[in-house]
Amino acid sequence: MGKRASARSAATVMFVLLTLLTAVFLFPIYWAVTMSFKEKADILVTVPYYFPVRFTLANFSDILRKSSYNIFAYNSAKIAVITTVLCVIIAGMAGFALTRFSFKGRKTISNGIFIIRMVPGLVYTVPLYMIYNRLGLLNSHFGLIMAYCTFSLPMSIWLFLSFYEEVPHEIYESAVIDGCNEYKLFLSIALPLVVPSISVVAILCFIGSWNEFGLALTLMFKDVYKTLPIAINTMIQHERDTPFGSLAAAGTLAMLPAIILSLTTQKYIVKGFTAGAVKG
Amino acid sequence: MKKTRSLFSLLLAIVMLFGIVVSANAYTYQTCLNPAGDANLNMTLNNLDLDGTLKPDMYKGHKIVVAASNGDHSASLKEFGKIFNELTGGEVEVQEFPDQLFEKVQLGLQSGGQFDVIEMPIAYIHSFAYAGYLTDITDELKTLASPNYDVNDFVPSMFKTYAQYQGKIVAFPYKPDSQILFYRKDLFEDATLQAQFKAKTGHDLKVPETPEEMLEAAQFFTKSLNPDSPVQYGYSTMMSKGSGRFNWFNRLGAYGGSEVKSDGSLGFTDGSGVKALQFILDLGKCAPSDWATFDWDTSNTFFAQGNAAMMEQWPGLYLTCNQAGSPTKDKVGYAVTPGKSPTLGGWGLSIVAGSTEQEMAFKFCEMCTSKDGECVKIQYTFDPCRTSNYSRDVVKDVSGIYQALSANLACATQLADTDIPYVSAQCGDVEEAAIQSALSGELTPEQAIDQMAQQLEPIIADAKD
Repeated sequence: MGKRASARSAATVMFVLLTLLTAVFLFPIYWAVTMSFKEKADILVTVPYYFPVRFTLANFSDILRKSSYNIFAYNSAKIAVITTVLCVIIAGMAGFALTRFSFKGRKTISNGIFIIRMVPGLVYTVPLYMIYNRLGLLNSHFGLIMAYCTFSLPMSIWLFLSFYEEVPHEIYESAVIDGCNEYKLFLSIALPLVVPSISVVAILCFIGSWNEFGLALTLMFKDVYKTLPIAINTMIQHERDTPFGSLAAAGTLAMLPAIILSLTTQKYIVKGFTAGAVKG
Repeated sequence: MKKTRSLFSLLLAIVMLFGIVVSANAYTYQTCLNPAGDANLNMTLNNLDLDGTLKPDMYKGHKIVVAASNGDHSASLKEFGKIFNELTGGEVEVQEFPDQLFEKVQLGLQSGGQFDVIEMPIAYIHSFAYAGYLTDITDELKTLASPNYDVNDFVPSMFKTYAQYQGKIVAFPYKPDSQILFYRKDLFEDATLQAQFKAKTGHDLKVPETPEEMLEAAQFFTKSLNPDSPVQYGYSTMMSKGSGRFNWFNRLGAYGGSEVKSDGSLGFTDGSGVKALQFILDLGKCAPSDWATFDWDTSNTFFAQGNAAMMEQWPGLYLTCNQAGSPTKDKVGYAVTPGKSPTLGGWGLSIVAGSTEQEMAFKFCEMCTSKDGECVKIQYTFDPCRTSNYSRDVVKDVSGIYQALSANLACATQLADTDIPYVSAQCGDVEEAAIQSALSGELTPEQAIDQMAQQLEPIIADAKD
């Protein structure tokens, strides 16, 4: 009885702590969403309103009608989708090759991928700008996609590697005995076994590209090429009142794809991150 | 007789035709100076073609790229781009950078070929000029500018501070900015309050002109010091990190000091820096205790909600106070900052030295900053930089703040950003850190000024080398 009571108390304490932690993490999102439905005069008040007292859709209609929100959203979606597809294809093949084949430099390449991931992306920004300027890749979605792929591939390959390492070699050997060549091994045997990692990589690459700000700000100049995070930032102007309502509305809409993706593929994300933890 | 009549008729017809052709070619631009659409503030501008020096198709097939900040900055330049294209056929592409404008422009100038014209705060323009990235337009102003461009029409202190640098002219003044004293005129003009003030202090309540008068008025309007005050605080401003030094600058000149002298030595170590900082701390007793967290939005909202009697701020506060539903709408007056040494901000247009379209860039900048050109940007809340426009019909009625702005610009000399190449931002950080330490009580004003001086001297010395 004593043990059961103490286990229940521990579970209650954990529940309360986790609830508080969840509230802390979710509160900024809650605040942004509710602010997007508030009237301008109700936003910056001394005693804040935790719920809109006057509900309005004016902020949403402002950004959808008066700004080029749809163009920027399209740009972000296009870049994110292409980056995701490229990363999944390249990382999927790279992970397979690094686990399947034995060749000189395999360990160096695998370890090199981890080391590259440790370098902060900001360090590459200025050199990338200089190189892109010489190559004429500034102001182009192609250039931005290449940059995003470059930064996403190390993590993507690392994730695929851990999944491929779980696949027993006996499966490959029996497939080879049955007459499979390497390409068929990859497409028909290996890939179906690492579907969770495809989901994880796809989600992480998409969200990373969708939300990315620094590189897009550095490499993009023309208005029509800019992505959504840049466009939202453009709404803040020097020495003019910040349009908090419109900003919140734009942010709420920008959050939706990432939230929908995460909720619908949540089980794959968990599987993907935990699969490598259990051996044998 | 018949022949003479026919000849005369033919001559008249030719003259009339010529008149029609000439008038058909004259470019006119209709603008409403008030973005809210006040019909009484319409203006017709007839000289955007710069006395005919901008001719149709003269720049057809040519293009310039302008780097600008976002919002009204890029919107006004895009409008100018449209006009310039209609007048000359030349294409003007405006690229706006909401964030990291300085870094983007610096990258663009170093790598070359990105921009032809840049729109930047003045201190940064001077840094780029020092590095040789900008064109000296002294000769172009004599040879290319239209006859009526008139550089002497610019507010003198502005032209001297904005456009001129080390003997060269490197910028066209584009957006003027000066700290202004905003005060609750309904309170200052209230007979009951005037009587109470006189009874308390022995002299009349008036819009303060000196720091001492300002402190006295602030104390009168602070409830904790005067329970009869109709407002909570006598003073408010944005004192968050990044903005605190403006308040210090506003007082520095009043006490005979300056940030940096023309020879590069510090101008506030003679006691004026300590005096100015001590004044801020004294004024802080009449301000909200959390004013060190006040940024642009929070400080403006605080004042516009009617919580303070006075505030020093950039001109944009005018819009916040006068928007629909504001408790202080039509209740705010504007004056020169007490001490007559307001902080000067401002933006300029400069031509990139490496641009291959020097003439087109010059004419574009000239158009933007011409007498009529200035009236185009007023609808984007960009105030004039020319003395004549402040007294021009219709323009002078646009904003109640214009008279005060013009007066502040006339006496402002202290730039908001340190005017030393490459180290402007670094110097600002040092000043802000010291001021914030004094505000929090961590350092006394003397210690804060000492710290500032000790850190600034090597930075400035390195920059000079």
